[in-house]
Amino acid sequence: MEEVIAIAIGVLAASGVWLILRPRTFQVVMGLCLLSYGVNLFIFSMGSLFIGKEPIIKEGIPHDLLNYTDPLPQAPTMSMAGSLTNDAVEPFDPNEPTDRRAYSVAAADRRPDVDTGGKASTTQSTDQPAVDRTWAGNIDLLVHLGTERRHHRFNRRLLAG
Amino acid sequence: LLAAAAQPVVGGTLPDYSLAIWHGWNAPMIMSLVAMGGGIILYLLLRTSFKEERFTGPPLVSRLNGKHLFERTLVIMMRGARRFERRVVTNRLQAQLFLLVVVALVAGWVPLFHSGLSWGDRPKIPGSGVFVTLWLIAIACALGAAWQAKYHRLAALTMVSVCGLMTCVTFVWFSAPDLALTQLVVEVVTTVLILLGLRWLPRRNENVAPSPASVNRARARRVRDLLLSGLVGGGMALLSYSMLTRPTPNTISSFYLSRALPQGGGTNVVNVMLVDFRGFDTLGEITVLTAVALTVFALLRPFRPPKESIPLPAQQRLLARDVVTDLVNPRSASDTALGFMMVPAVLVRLLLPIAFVVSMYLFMRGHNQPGGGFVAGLVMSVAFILQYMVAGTQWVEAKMSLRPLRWMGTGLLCATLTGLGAMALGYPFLTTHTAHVHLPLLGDIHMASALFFDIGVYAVVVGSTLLILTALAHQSVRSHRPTSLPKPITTQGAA
Repeated sequence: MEEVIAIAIGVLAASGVWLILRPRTFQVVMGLCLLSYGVNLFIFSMGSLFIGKEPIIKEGIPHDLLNYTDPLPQAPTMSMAGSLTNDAVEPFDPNEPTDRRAYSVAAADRRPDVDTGGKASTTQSTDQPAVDRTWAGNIDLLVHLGTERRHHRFNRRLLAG
Repeated sequence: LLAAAAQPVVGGTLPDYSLAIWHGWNAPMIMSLVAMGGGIILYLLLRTSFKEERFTGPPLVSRLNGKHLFERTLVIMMRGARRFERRVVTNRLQAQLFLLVVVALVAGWVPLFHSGLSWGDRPKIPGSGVFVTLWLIAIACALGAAWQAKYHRLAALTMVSVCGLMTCVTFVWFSAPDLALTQLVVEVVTTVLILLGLRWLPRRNENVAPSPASVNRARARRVRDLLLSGLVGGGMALLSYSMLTRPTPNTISSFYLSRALPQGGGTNVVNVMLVDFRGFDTLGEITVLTAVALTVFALLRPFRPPKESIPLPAQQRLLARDVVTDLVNPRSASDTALGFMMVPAVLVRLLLPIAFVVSMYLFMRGHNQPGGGFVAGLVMSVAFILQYMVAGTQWVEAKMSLRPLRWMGTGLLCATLTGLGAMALGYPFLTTHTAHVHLPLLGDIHMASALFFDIGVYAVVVGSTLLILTALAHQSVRSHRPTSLPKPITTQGAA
C-alpha cells in the first residue's frame, strides 16, 4: 500500500508540475489542482497510515497513537484542502488571451518613465538663471543653456541605452 | 589674560602652549609668505582678464555644477538599476514558475545527495486489490489530464476530478473522515466554478501555423519540462515512500489526542484542533478566504467576455426555426425552469431546504463527529450554486437576496468576537469554554464557545463561495446586455 501511495503522489506531482509549466491559463489551473492533490496526500501521509483508527475519541480506549491515527497532519491538510478552491479559481482570469505569449506583459510602461524624467528636469533648469540682462549675462545664459542641453541630452542617451 | 579667559572655556587644566609675537623664521612663516607672493603674482598676471570680466566664478570649481552632478548620478543609478532589472526580472509567469520549481527541486535533492536515502522498517499495511486498481485508474487520469489539457478542456477537467475523488477515497481509507468530507465538497465546488469559467475561454483556432524555429524551441522546452517534472515527481515519490516506511515519530500528536476531550471538550480531534488548539490559524485562514473572494470579485468586475465567446453555443444555434422546442434560448424565457429544465429544476429547488438541514447536521456534529463549519458551509453553498445552475442568474437573484458580503462580514465578526470574549473573561485570545446546557425539549446539548467560532467559519465559507460564484455568473448577464434578443441562426435540415 505504501508503494501505491508513494507512486500516486509522485505521478500527481509530476503531472501537476508539467501542467503549470505550460503556456495556457487552463493548463496552469489544472496543474495547480493536480499539484494540490499530490501535496495534500503528501502532508497527510506524513503521519503514518492506519486503517480504521479515526482520530475520534471513543470511550474506554486510551488516548494514544497506538489506538488512533495521527491527527496532526490532518489538520493542516484540512486547511490546504479548503484553500484548493481559491487556488483553482484565483488565477482563472478568462481575460487572458491563450496564445503562447499569454503571460508576457508588454513592457510599455517603461517609456513614459524616461520621458517625464527628462522633461521635468528641463523645465526646471530653464527658468533658473534668467536674471542677468547684460550682454555678458546673455552670453553666460546661452553658454549655460548649452551645457544644460548637453547635460540633458547625455542623460537621456544614458537612460535610453 | 589669555589663561584667565581660556580657563572657564576649557574647564580644567590648560594644555601646554607657547605665545610669542615673533617666533623666528620657521616653516609656517615661510609658507605664508610664499602663498601671499604667489597670490600677488597671479593677480598681476591676470589683471587684464579681470578687468574684462572674463571670470564669472572661481576657476575649475565653477565647472562642477551641484545640480548636474546630482542629476547625472541619479541617471546613472537609474540606468544601472534598469539594466539589472532587465537581466534578472521577467513578467512571464512561465519563466517564474520554472525558476520556482527548479529552486524547490535543488533544495530537495541536495540533502539527498549529502546524506542518502534509506527505507525504514515499519510493518507494511497489507495491500488491497481494489485500492491499487482505483489508484491505477487515477494515475492514468492524471497523466491523461496532463496530456489533454491543451485542447480538450472538458476531458481534462473530468480526469482531474477523478484524481480528486481518488484522493478523497484515500482519506477515507486511511482514517481521515473529516478530510474526505472536505475534499469531496471542495471538489464539487471547484469543478462547478471551473465549468462556469470554461464557457468564456476561446475556442481552438486550428489555422495557426507556427514557424519551424518556434516548433523546435517548443520541442526543446517540452523536453526540459518533462525532465523537470519527472525529477520532481520521482523526488516526491521517494521522499514519501521513505517517510511512509518509518514508524511515527514521537511528536506533539499524542498531546492533542490526550487533551482534546478534557481541554477542548470535543471528541473529533481534528475539528478540536482546528477550532480550538489552532483557532488562531483558522481565523487567519478565513480572513484569507475573505480576501481571496474579494480579489476574485474585483479581478472579474472589469472583465467583459471576449467577442468570440459571446454568441450562443453551436448546439443552440443549429436549430431550425420551425422546430417547436423550448431548447431554443433559455435566456429569453422568464423562468428557465419552466421548459425542458422543469424536472431538474423542481428537484434542485426541493433540494435547497434538504441541503440546509444536512449542512446544519454536519455543522452541529462537527465537534464530536466528522463534520464542522467548513464542510457545512460548503454544502450550503453547493445548494445555492445548484440554484444558479438550474434557474439562471437573473431568476435566482430576483427571488433570493443572497448577500455574500454580509455573510462574510458577519462571519469574520463572529469569529473574532468569540476570541475577544475569551479575552474579556481574562483568558488568552480564542480560549474555548465548554458547557452542557439542559434545554426543556431537546435534552442535554453540548455547547462549546468554539461553536460560535465555527458559526463564523460557516458564514465566511458560504459568503466567499457565493461571491466567487456571482463574480463568474454575472459574466453571462453582462455579455448579453448590449445585444437585444439573440436570434437563432436558421440552417436547413440541421434539426
